[in-house]
Amino acid sequence: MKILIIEDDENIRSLLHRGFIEYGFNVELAEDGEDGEYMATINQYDVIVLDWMLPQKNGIDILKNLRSNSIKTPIIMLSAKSDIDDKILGLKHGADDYLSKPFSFKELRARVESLYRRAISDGSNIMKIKDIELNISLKRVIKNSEEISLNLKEYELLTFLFKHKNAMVSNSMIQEQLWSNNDFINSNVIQVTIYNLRKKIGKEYIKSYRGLGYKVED
Amino acid sequence: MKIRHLKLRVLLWFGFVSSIAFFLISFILYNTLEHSINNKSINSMYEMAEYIEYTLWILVPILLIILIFLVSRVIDKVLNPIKEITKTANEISISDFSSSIEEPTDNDEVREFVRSFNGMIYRLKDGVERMDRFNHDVSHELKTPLTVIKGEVEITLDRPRKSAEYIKSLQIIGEEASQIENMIKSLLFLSKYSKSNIKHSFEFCELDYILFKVLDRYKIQLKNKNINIHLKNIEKIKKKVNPVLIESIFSNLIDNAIKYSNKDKNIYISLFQKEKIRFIIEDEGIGIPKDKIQKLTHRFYRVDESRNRKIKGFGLGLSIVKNSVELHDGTMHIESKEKKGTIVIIDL
Repeated sequence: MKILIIEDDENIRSLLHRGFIEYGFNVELAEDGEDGEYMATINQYDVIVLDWMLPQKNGIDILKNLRSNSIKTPIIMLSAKSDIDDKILGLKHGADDYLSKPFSFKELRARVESLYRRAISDGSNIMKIKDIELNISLKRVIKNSEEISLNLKEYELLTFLFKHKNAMVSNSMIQEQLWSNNDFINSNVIQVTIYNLRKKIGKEYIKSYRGLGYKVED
Repeated sequence: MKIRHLKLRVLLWFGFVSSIAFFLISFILYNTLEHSINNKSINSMYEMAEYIEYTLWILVPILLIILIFLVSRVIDKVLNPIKEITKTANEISISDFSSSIEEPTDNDEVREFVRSFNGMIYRLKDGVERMDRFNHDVSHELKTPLTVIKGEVEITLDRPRKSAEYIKSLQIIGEEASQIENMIKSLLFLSKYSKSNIKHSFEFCELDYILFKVLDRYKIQLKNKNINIHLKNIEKIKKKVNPVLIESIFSNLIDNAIKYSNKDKNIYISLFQKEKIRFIIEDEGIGIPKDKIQKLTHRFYRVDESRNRKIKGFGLGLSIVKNSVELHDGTMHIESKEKKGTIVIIDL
């Protein structure tokens, strides 16, 4: 899962970065409002974690701009403001969730994951293609009632392909989704991940189109 | 037995006293008349005396009733505002200061009384509001360091780690704890002195000496940013002041001037005496937008809304300065131009 964290406090930013990375998230960071909004506009994220009080541009303005540019990425707002009215203001301007500081990291992670689930699977925890079942909340893949054990990248890749089922997914899309800009990887790593995934779930599920990319079909 | 109603008590007393007075007067009048009978025709005199006696018997009660009625009106006029005040006072609580008493139209003591009562409500309301705002600010300011501390602990404990990671994590927690400590120290400092207890702490001090002592503490910071301090006009000044507060004025203003200046700039400082003692500090820093100068001295106010922690601080410095200046019956004046710099003038 690829998330963007827009937070100006250095310590909170680095904390969230570490925490999410350890759970296999692909994390990108922005430390002020301008950068954050720009990144959210040009890149695809699964979830955006947005602080309210930011230099250059505050969280509410970013929300408004993103939503008016019809960017529908789920957004969870963080803020030291804990009044009901502040929460309502955030939600009204297009936030999908709101968490007051100080929060528990576990709770934030759970909420981010829940936003992600809702965004990719219309509410249900299970995505199914042919006889492969992907349980998003348990992060388990089951084929013919047998569990297939995947590593984090393979699992993320499969989710990404399921999300874009019946559509062509290119190498660069996969790279952007699974690896952050700071990871310098070559296309070999992507090939290897694809190769391993295909080997584990069965070659026929992921069709490869030379020079174009990959596709999962219903 | 005590009668609880003031009005009834006053009326009873009044009735009692005036009846006695009337009877005494009639008695004396009657006696004088009887005394003078000897010289005149006895019959006509008796008739007259009787006539007077009867008139008095009728007149006195009527007069009494009229008087009591008038007195009752006067008492009502005084007591009604008091009843109103009692009612309002009962309605007032920490969470509800909406009531006040309608002012009487006559310009008298009662109106004065009502006015001061309403004034008191207003001042209490203001005080409670400021306290609320203050509590709100404090808890808000504590939330960011607390978020970091909580998060660090949670994430670090999530799985076994190398000792270097524990060290890093504990260092961050330590930093944030000091942040909280400093904030609380500043807040305590702000509430330690008041107008009523400040005079006891006054002693003769050399202000220029305090200034140099403070400047000495900023040596390293000045060197790091390559900022030059120009001492324009420093006079030897002795005055009875609170040295801790004076030091807080100098150090906060110098600290701000350094914090909000970019590298390789100048700071100009003067301290001299004319009618009053004047301290001027001028920087070539980032300046303050015009509409924000007013709010500068509010507690926790920071020009940059995000509370950008690249420039450390809680927005308490200038409220400490203002507080310290006011406790010395002085004044502070701030002028600023964005991207040009700021001048702060203190008169003590």
